[in-house]
Amino acid sequence: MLTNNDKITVPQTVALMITTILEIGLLSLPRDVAIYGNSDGWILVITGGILAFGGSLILSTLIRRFPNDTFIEYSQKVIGKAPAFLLGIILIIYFILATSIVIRTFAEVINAFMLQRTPREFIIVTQMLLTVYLIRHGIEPTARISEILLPILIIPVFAMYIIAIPKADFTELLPFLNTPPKAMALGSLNTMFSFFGIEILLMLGPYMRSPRRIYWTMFLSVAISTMIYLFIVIVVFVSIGVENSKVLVWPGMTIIRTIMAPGRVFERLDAMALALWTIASFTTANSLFFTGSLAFTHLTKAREFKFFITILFPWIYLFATIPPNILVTEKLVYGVKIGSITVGILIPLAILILSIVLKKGGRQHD
Amino acid sequence: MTEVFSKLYTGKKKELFFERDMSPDKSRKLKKDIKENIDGVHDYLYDCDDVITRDFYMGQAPKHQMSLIYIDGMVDKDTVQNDILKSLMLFTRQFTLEYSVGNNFFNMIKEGLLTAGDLEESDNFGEVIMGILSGDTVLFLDKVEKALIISTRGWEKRGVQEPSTEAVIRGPRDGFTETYRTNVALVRRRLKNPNLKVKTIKLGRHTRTDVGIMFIQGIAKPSIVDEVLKRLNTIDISSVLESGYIEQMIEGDWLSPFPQLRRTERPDIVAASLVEGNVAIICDNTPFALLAPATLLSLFQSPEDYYERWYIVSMIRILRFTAAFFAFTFPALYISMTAFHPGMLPTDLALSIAASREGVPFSAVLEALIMVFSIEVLREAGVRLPGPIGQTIGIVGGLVVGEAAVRAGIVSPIMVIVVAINAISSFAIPNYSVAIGFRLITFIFMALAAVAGLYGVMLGLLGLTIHMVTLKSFGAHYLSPFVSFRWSESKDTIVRGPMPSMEIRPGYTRPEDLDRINDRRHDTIDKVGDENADK
Repeated sequence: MLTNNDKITVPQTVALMITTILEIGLLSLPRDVAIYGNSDGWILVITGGILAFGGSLILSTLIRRFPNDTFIEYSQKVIGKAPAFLLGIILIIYFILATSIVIRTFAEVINAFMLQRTPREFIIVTQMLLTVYLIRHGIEPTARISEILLPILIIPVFAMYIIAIPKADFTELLPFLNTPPKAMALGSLNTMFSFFGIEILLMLGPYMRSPRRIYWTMFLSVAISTMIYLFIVIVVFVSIGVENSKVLVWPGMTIIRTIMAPGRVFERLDAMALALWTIASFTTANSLFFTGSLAFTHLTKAREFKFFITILFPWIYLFATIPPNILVTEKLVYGVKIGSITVGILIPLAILILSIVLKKGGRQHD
Repeated sequence: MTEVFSKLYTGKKKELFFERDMSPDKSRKLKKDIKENIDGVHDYLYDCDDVITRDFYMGQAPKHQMSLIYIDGMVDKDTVQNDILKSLMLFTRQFTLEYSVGNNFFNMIKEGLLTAGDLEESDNFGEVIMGILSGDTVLFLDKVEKALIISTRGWEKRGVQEPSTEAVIRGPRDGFTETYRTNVALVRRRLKNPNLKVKTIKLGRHTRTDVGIMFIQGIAKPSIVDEVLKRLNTIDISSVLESGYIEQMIEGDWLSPFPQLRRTERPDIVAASLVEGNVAIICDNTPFALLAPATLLSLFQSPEDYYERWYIVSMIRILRFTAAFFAFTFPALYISMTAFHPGMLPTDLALSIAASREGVPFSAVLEALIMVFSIEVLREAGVRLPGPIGQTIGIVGGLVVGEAAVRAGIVSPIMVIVVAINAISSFAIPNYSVAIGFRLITFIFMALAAVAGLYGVMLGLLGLTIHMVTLKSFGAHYLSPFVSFRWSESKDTIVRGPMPSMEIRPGYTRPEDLDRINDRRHDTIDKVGDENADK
């Protein structure tokens, strides 16, 4: 069942995936990997990326087996209507929580670095309205926005961090390979959380113009995201040190505050960084919010998805405003990350294995 | 229907049937008796004192009446007198009388007598009346159920002049005029191509304006041509006095501040766009032609972009886009930087801004609002006034008021600089409609900056991006080629590549024939080189 006939191309899917993945990790990933891996933290980014790609392979294989169905439909085909309906509801709840936590984290950062006295609710509501304005247009414009914002996001991020390199101390990356394997494994798993967002693939299958090239699409998306994360982690490590990265809430942001643009155009690059942060957060919230309302649409077999945007809106707002402070928010972020593993990897893995065992999907759908 | 006709012919009442578009009924046929025909014309055109009826006779004993009807001032008097009246009154005497009556004579006149170039035969009042109103001369003959519509259009008109809104340093100096035929000819002269098609329709119930659609078959995508024709045909409006009426009736999103058709008074732009696969809409009575589909990029282009060398053009284009960005964000950035985030500026600059704002009684928002508002007023006043006075307004407004306002401590000098750069930037955009669109959203951005500082500006920018990304003009993405980007199209975007490298046409029109340049060029250059070497 297609809610509209819009389909997205391979570059659009890659852009959508990258902009969805790049968000919270941009600011907090250096801290996480520093805690688990110390100076080997940057290796964790690579291993985490490989794990994330492994996870995306599960989703991709499902898309290959059921190219015309979303998760809602193929789970019904594999495990029957009632259990699948339950899974669908879990999926929707997850997307609501993920969207609200993304928007909440965004508001926290804006509150901390830019608008100290502005009510958090104002930032949350404006950001949500902007998101709604976009996703009402459907999947293709959402992907197009990602496509156009991706270079605007990546190029300045690289430029800003490159400015920080001259003052860098590369000995911070030593000692090399000094972390016990167990910590490495745990750390990699934790890094994989930073790739949360790939679970939107659950709903995207029938909206892709060439689902046959899904493996290549996912490889590109995860590889590019890993490169960006890797670059940022290394730059943060070499500029402010591993130990400092451990104690800061958003080391990625702190390092930007210490940079001065050459020629003293801006004394601190906060403005630029926050602008980019707005873009990163906006694109992630877009795809999660859109996927959530899409899941709802497919679950109820409705024809029009715009209505469900309206239904989800108050819930997302509610969950975004519930956490009283940043500590609770950070805990919820962690919860959502675990949820993303459950919803994005464990459940699909079970469905995939069942579908292979029960011989459902696959060739007859080609 | 029949009731109406019966009343028309039997009763004396002047009750006439008009079609929905106000043109006289085409199914009302001409009669054999010339008197009835002339009365029929006067049924429609009574109380129109500019309609001239010239009766004359030929033969002696049985006189046969002929009649010319035209509108004074809309016909070329020379043609009427020398090519029509002279032939009919002098040369017809050579014929015997049997030839001088009825259909034989009609054919003789049509085929061999009139020296006017373009004539048409008609048998109904609808075409006759429309012909007269368009400036043609109608010839009635006795005992013939047909009339001749002789094209004698010729009225006082402006010559081809240099367009005043789109001046260029390098490039042709001719611009469109108010005459439809001249405009079409100006384009045709540049494209001596049998595939250049011109379709004319009449729009406006009362104005019956000639509107022409031009496109090149084999390049323009048929679906776009059809879409333009379809939208034009849905227009049912009482008057079309300028192409702006058409533009506003056929644009897709009338809530958008951006024009979705490109308007130009330069035939070279129209020719260039036609070759790129656009459809041109040329409207009578206005020098402004419309081009569809339009993209933001095409609205940022000037014809010189293709006449100058690519380094210069690339630099100018980058300049224009930067200017456009400042045209709507600069006051907003000033507001957010001074009122919300002074820490983000270099300390010296922040201090000098603070020092210059000392003594200014208003907040940065109000200050910016006052200044932007006065610039807008100055612009509007300057546009309406004739040249010399307009300049005076500029000097008085810009120098005297600006300087005095700073001296009086109402605004800070930096604010004046900000607003001046903002205003000048907006006029670096070649297309006036787009420039005004950007100036309009300046106010929205100022409001956003006043509410939420830099975050507000960011919200505005994202909202603007969403709007532009979702905007379409006749099926073409407004932000094309930046959305669904293809590397081969990158040579004609914010920068322009060297002419030989631009091998394909822009893709937003989805042209049927993509090749702009064939590879042959290099071969010929090499050959010429070889020949010279042989000598």
